[in-house]
Amino acid sequence: MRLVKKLLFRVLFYFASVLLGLFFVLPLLWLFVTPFRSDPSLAVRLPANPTLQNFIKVVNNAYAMRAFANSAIQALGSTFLVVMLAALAAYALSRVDLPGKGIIVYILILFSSVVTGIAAMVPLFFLLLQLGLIDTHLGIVLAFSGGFLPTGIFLMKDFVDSVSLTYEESAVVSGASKVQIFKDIILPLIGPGMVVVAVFTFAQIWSNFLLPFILLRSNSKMPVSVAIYTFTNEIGMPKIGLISAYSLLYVVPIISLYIFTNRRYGFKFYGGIKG
Amino acid sequence: METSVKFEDLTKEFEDVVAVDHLNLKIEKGEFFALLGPSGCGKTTTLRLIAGLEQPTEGKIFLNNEDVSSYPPKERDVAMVFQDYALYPHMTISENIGYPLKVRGVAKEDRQERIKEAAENLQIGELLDRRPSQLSGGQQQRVSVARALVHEPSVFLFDEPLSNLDARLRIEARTFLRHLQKELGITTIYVTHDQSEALALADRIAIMEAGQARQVDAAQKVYHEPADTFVANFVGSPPMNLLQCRVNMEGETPILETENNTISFTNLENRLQRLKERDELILGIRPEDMDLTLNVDQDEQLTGLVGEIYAVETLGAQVLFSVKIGNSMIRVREMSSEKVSQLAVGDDVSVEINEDRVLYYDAEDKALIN
Repeated sequence: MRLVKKLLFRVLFYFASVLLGLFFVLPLLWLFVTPFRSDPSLAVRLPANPTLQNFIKVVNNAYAMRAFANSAIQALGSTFLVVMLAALAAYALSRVDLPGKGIIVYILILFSSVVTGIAAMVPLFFLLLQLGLIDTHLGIVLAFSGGFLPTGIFLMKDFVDSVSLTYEESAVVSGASKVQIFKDIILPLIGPGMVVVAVFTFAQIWSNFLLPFILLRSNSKMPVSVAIYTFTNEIGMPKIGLISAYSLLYVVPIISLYIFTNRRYGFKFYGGIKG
Repeated sequence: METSVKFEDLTKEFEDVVAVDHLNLKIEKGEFFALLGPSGCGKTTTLRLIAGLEQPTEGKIFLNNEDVSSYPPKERDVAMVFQDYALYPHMTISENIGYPLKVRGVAKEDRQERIKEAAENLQIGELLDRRPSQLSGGQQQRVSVARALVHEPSVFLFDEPLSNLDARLRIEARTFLRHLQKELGITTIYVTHDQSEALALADRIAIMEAGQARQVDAAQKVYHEPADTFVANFVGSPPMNLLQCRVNMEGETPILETENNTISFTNLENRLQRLKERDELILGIRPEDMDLTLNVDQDEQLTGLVGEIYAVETLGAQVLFSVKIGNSMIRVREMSSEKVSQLAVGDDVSVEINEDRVLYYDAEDKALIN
């Protein structure tokens, strides 16, 4: 009896798992299959006559291509700003004895998602309006940077903490200035941390829809995430072929970024401190 | 260029601890000077004060009679070797050694030449293209020394540089350091908690405790004439035997009474006057300045120190006996010999003391009575 019960449970468990797995895998399959179909639809079907027609349409669409450039400007700009500022701020937070340092770090975690969250949208909109930064790349870059800096600093502080103070002291006695120490010793040693923050920030911004949708006005400045949303025909029906091809191109940077960093860094450390 | 180092009332306080307490010292040009003491005695803090990694709370540091107390590390022209070596893991050995030159703006070709020279001096010339993680502990240690000497500093600072090496390598590195220092003639200050290292390396030693120097003397003198019982107990392995005694005058002859024995010395003339003034004192005798004799005849009335062998430890050429006398333990070191090999745990022995080598310490302030 017990064996049968156990077996039955097993079968049911696997069945439910497979069902659940399919539920999540289907959209991904759709994404990789549909762009190559000549009759794109919402169903997952292998292309009968594989075609690149959808891609050609996307590439010839000036608006779609312009959106890629916009996405790149906004995501790269913010990522660069976040990584640089987070490295400097984390270094200071890690090394300087500040009264109430623990609380500052705690607040960082607490507020890490407030700026880019929905609650802050209205004040953020007004702030950028007052600054004359609505509908500018700079406005978007600043808003994203503000949003991801807390998390960036928090992540980065852990990496700086793990760099032994003796490296710096050794450099100080060698005669290095603060700037030289940061450039020659700290930056290379927290490199992997900066990559982590960069990948995290870039992926988040690349896929963010709400912020550019609200803070930008003109079509010529919209990033890909917003541009996809506008691919409908005159009566509001989505152009599925265009959307699927565009979406596939859209995820390529993120996937290749992940593969590249994993190959290049693999997030392992080598140490020169003998303990 | 040779440099002398001088401290005047050097004091460093951390929140509620006084790490260095009004230290006054002068280290001569070209001297190999050791700061020796137990952990927490302030020796490393002293070193960091010289390097400029810490600012003194009070007092001054002079390099060649120039007050450098407020100078940043860069302007002090000192070099430091850290306990964990602190080799930059992302740089090659060559870049590591050349870093002090690079930050000083030395031109690249000049730099390469001096890196090569320093590396050859330390016999690590063939490792220049590797990274620190590919080196053994001993090699890493040499790289850190090379990095320290590459810009020809006026003072060398060592912070327990050998403590991460295994015993055999440590002795090798010790000999090498001693040789190198004498060859270069750079004033060297060496921090260690290992008394044998300090004795072997240093011309002079300062034994520190609680931020103060208990004794500053040549290595030989520190060993043979410890200035107080703290130094006596710290220097030497095993440390000096210290025996608490009462002084009883029998006429003009002082009899020293230990816990359950009496000791009378025949030749006390030069110290007699000072012993008379005291009721109590502490005898200090090095383990090698004593001899053991087996008590064969149980009935014989014994004088001097009598006890029972508690443990026998073989140290190679020598044998270390621990003898239990009353409640105290005395350590006696004998050269291995026929006679010694007959002694075993549990034997009753009497301990003879080489009178000329006995030191007398005041029971109150624990200082040496001269």
